[in-house]
Amino acid sequence: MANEEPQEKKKVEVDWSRRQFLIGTGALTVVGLGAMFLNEPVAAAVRSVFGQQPESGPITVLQGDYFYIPNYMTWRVGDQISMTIHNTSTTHFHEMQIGRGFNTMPTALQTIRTQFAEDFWKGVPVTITAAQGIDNFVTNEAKISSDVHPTPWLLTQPGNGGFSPTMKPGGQITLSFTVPNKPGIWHYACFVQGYMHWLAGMRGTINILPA
Amino acid sequence: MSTLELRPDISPVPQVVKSKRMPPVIRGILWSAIGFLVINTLISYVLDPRYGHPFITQVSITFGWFAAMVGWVLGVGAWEGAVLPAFGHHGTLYTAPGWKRFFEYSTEHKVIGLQYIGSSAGGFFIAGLAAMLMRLELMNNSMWLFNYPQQYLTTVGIHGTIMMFSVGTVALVGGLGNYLVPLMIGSNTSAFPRMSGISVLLVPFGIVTVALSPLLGYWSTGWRGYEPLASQDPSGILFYYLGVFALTLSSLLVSINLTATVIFKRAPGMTWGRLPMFAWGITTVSLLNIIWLPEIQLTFVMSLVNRLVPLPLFTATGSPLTYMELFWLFGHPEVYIVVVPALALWQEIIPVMTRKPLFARQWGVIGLIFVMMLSGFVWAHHMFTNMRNVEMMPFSFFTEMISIPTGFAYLVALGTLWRGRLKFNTVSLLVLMSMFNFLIGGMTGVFLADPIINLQAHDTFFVVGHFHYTIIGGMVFSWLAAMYYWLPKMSGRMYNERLGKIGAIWIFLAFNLTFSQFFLLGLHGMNRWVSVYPSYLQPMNFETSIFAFLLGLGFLFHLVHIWWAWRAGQKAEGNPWESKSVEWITASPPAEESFPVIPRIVSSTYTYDNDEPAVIIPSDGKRVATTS
Amino acid sequence: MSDVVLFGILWVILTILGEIGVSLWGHNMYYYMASTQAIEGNHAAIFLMIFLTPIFMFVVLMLFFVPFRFRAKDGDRKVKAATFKTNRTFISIWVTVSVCVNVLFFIHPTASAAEMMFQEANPANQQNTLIVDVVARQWQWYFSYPQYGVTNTVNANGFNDLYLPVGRKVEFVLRSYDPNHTYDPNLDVVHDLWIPAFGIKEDVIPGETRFMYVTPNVITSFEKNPMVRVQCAEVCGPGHPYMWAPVHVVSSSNFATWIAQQKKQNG
Repeated sequence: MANEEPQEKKKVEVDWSRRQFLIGTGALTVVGLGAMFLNEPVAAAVRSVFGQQPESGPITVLQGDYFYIPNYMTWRVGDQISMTIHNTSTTHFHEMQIGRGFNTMPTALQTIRTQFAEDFWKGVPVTITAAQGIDNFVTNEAKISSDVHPTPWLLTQPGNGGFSPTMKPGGQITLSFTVPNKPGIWHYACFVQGYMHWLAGMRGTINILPA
Repeated sequence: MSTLELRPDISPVPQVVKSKRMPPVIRGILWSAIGFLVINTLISYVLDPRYGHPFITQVSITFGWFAAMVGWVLGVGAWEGAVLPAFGHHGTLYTAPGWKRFFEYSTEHKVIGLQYIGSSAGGFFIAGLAAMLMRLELMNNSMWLFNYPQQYLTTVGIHGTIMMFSVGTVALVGGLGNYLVPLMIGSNTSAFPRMSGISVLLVPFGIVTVALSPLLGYWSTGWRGYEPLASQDPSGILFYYLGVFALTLSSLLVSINLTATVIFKRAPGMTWGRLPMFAWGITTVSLLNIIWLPEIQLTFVMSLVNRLVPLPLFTATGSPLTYMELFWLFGHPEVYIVVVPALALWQEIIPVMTRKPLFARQWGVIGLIFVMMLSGFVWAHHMFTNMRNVEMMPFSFFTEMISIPTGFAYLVALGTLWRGRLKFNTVSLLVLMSMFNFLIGGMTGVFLADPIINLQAHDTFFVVGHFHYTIIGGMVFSWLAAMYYWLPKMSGRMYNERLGKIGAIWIFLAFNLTFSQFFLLGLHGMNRWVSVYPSYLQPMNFETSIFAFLLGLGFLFHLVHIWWAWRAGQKAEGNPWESKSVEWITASPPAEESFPVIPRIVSSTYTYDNDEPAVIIPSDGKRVATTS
Repeated sequence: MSDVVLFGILWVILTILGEIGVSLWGHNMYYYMASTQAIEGNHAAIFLMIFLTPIFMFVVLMLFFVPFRFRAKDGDRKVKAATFKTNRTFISIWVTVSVCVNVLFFIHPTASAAEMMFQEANPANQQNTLIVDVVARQWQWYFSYPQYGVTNTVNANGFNDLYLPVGRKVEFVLRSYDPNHTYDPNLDVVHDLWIPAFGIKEDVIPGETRFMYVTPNVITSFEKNPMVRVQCAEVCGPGHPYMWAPVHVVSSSNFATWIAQQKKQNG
């Protein structure tokens, strides 16, 4: 084996700034850590500083595994809302209940939250203006005023749990309603698959402002 | 030949240019960001726009990530160091003085080795922090630290992935291998220095990728990425595939480089029969890497494409089992990739410390080679819970048989220890501890190799205890021993013996008290990947966590100690262990050109039964071409 | 030579102590056993421990013996280390013993216990086997008893519940899919049915039907010992830790009562 040294290029010593290096990498580390661990507090802080305009008209709520976009909404009593809920997951079905307080089921591991105790939709007139890829739809005590074609997924009587449209992967539904006079903080969540989606963080908050 | 030590000639003072340049790491990050933005924008807005026009889609981030990787590598210095020369452009390669060499592109194997060691240590402490978070969560049997279970699972995944692919596979091979193998065989360079300079840059990039994976969503599969769960996970798992790709690519390049180095770069007289055990270990483990790393890379690329297209390769319509087979086909050789260099380290260090010739050297080599070969026959023992009955027996058989060549490492080590004159210092203490820990790891492996016991212990903390005994106990303890042993070579300074021993005993106790309880937890019903568990397991988990924190602190103690010794320790003698190995005839730390004159090896380097040198510097030796 | 004698004596003593330890503790290894399979596994483990103890003691003793007995005193250069590079007898014994022990382990307990396991699965041996259909979905277990026409057994809270009669072999038929959402067969993932007290587990894989055989031999329940539970042992997403169900092993008459009650619930 002939010992052929590769033709090395001339090496010239040129210094670089230690300060730039440390400040640059340090700043990026801080940004990275902040993005990883502080996104929720930062979002809450931004919201509290800038407030949020009440939404009305057509709004979209995207469902994913296991989250909502957005996970915070502001509504105002009396506004007309047309809410499209779209399940963007390719593998899981998702629902959207809105309510307050929890019904629970005790198990040996821990007490599990099964659904909201107080249903936001109780007595609220709702019109279904579009629906596709629906897994099932529990109307509970909402007043469904539209004439949707009778489908096997529609469960209209109370006693099947809280008002909740459940979408198959890719499914979506549009609900039109006037925000009822129920101001305050409400929550929305998905409790499907052994009530695990709520545990996995599929939750959101609605702040309903008085008219 | 009274003194073997060589002082390098004073090289001509390099020309110093006053003007400054951007720190290479910062330029790498900048180029990386530019690469990502350009490609990501191109894909998400022009080539493959998606519903709702999101800026980041799974496809765009995958290709954007590749652009970022290229930008990073070129920006740090591969542009001037490797790309321009490939096009015949003979520009100037800038180097910075002092410690700054370690933060830029380099072709010098010793700098690269230390870059690898530093990156691995960084990965070790990032992943170690993840482990601490896991143990903190497990102190209580309900969710209290993390908000959601998948945050815990992501932590598990980050811990496992970074530990396996940037520490276990890298520290001893890319790190010590790059630093020591050329020195041990009397060569001034590795075979492919430019490729080596690029490969090391992939390690920090891969670590950061995996560590930042939660930004894209919490993934829940742990380090194995089992399908079809992986295809259901949020996009965070993309950074698992991509990060592992960068890390395994790095290890693959290291292995090609070091195998070629051992084959082609040996000094005169360094025959295969005299090749140091560590070089043998690196050769066998490099062959394992060359065989199996492409396999896992292809598997992960398939998983990635399966997800992006999407395809049903590994779902119920495809075959979930296929993914497991492909994963473990690599996965079991992987644990030998981690451990084989550690076994070789015992055999390298013990003869020096006992002043005795290596016992049964050929059996040691046979052991390493047979472990390498058999490791490809045992993968499905990870799958006793999901394989067909007819497949169990051959895998169980080979799994039990592989303990025979592994045992040869003990045969050699114990035979060398017997009736030697052991220098009882931090180094030999850590080697003995490593042998103890790996013994427990190996013996619990015998239980796991038995299907009927495996069906109880599999997927429980018993298995977790078992592999932490082999990997921390075997590999990390040996890595620490090697760091103390070669510290005088790398830094020219000596560690503090008392602090070293205190640290060794500290981590030994904390390690054993932590992981021995894992066996009991597993047998008592503690399954893996759970952040919530029945309350009867809580007391033992609580105390296990306490010992785990002590273990973490112990490793931190060693880090600080080595750091301190490196900078301010006592000046070491040239050859403090009176080793006969080739690396100790160089200056400490070695100059850029380790051997101004290529040495000649005249006998095995383990001949501690006589005082004859094993290495001589030929007085008529040709000076090798210098770089200036 | 005195080193060898001293080492040998210490080794024998340690081995005896170790074997005493194995005989005292070995049967506790599984903590709680409620099936013949768990007992078999425990026997296999004890057998391994008996043979591994001398080997373990040999190496561990060596690791302690060396620093005490063969330690170089500081600055003492008069005592030289031995110079042997090989020892044919020692190597022959080492290689022979390690080959023999490993072959032994493969024959017994590995192959012998596996053979018993395979016999359990033999279709010829299923005269009185209780069949339990297990469906795993994210993140719940459904149990059905096709021989009794009972599907999806639940307790008073509506939580999935598994009852088994004592002393009767059970065949778990394992499938992974979502029985309530059958429109997409690709929805579910790999789970693992583990009952810690039964000493056995088996993966549940989408697209496959798999079997697990177990014979409960003690009347017990989750309330008596929390190891008597079904636990998912293969990571299956965020709900993985919550994917469990209580197990009750009851007398055959109590089992019949329970089945009748479930039948009534099933309507």
